[in-house]
Amino acid sequence: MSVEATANVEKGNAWSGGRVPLGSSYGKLMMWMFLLSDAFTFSSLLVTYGYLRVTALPGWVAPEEVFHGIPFLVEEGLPLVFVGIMTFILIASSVTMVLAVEAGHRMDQKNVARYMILTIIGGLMFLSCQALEWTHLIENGLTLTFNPFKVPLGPNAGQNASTMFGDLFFVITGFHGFHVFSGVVINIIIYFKTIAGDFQKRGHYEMVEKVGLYWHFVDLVWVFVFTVFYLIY
Amino acid sequence: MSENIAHTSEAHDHEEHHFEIIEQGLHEIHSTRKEIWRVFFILLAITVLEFLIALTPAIKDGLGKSKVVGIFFFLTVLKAFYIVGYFMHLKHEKLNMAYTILIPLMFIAYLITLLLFEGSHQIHI
Repeated sequence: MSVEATANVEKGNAWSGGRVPLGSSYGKLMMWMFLLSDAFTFSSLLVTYGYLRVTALPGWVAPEEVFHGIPFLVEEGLPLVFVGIMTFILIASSVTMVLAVEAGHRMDQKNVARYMILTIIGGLMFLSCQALEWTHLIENGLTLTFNPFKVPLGPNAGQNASTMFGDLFFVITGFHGFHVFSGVVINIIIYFKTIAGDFQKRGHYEMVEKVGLYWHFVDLVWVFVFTVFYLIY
Repeated sequence: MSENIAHTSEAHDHEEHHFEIIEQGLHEIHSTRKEIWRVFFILLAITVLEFLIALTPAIKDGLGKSKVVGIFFFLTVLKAFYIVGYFMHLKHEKLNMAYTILIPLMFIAYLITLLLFEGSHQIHI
């Protein structure tokens, strides 16, 4: 097992080699490095968002006027409720993922598979919600080149708000949604490897931990996307 | 006879020790799961708090925009801390590992701050 391997080489001199740097396995460390680079990518998008938003003319939309319905149920009047449901789904799927990792530490194949399938369902539910929200906004006329929503406050109140809103919304939530989609695909692969008994044979469930890191990162990005698009007014 | 008793008591001790180990293991599993659910409810509570602030005009008008936005950012970073620290397990990794991940991200916070100042300055020209 990787834990034992780590413990054995730890005994050597720090500068004579053969020591595991940062006390983490190669695969996990590389996943962290990938996530760090991915964090840079998302940060560049969010930095762009911040800069374009504070300089936007004639002004920005009010989020509670843009996101105020639940598809199929309520047309309007419930601001931010739908995105609240989406946020809850993503946090819940993060919890099932971490429970799968915990079951993996105990070599509990049945529970790893169970929690992986719950995580996959959570991811698919989130993607469906996002598809519904996009459809709703496009039907209302929000596109990359047109913004039907009005500026709520200030000297330009009542004018159509900056078209940058549509650009940034579709690009950033789209990029995040693509990450969720990739995460679901990777989770499905890991689920099938789990039920095939691959990790049981290997003696550890580190792969589950690695996809877990990726999945939590997707949740983490959503926390920031949620704040900048839906909360800040 | 007495030898036999000693033997059984030894076996009994051994068994008890065995049970202790299993119990300890169960306790560990229990506390890990408890921590997971604790973090889940903290994240949920923070999100609910964010919604309450976002949907209550009285709070928004009372505190003013810059303070409310500051609170939103503080709560967001708090959520990020719980996700990265507990779910991604960074809090229990080596400190050097945590620095490797977190120090580069500090520069992003710096860049965001710079650009927001620059941007809001530009619009007032």
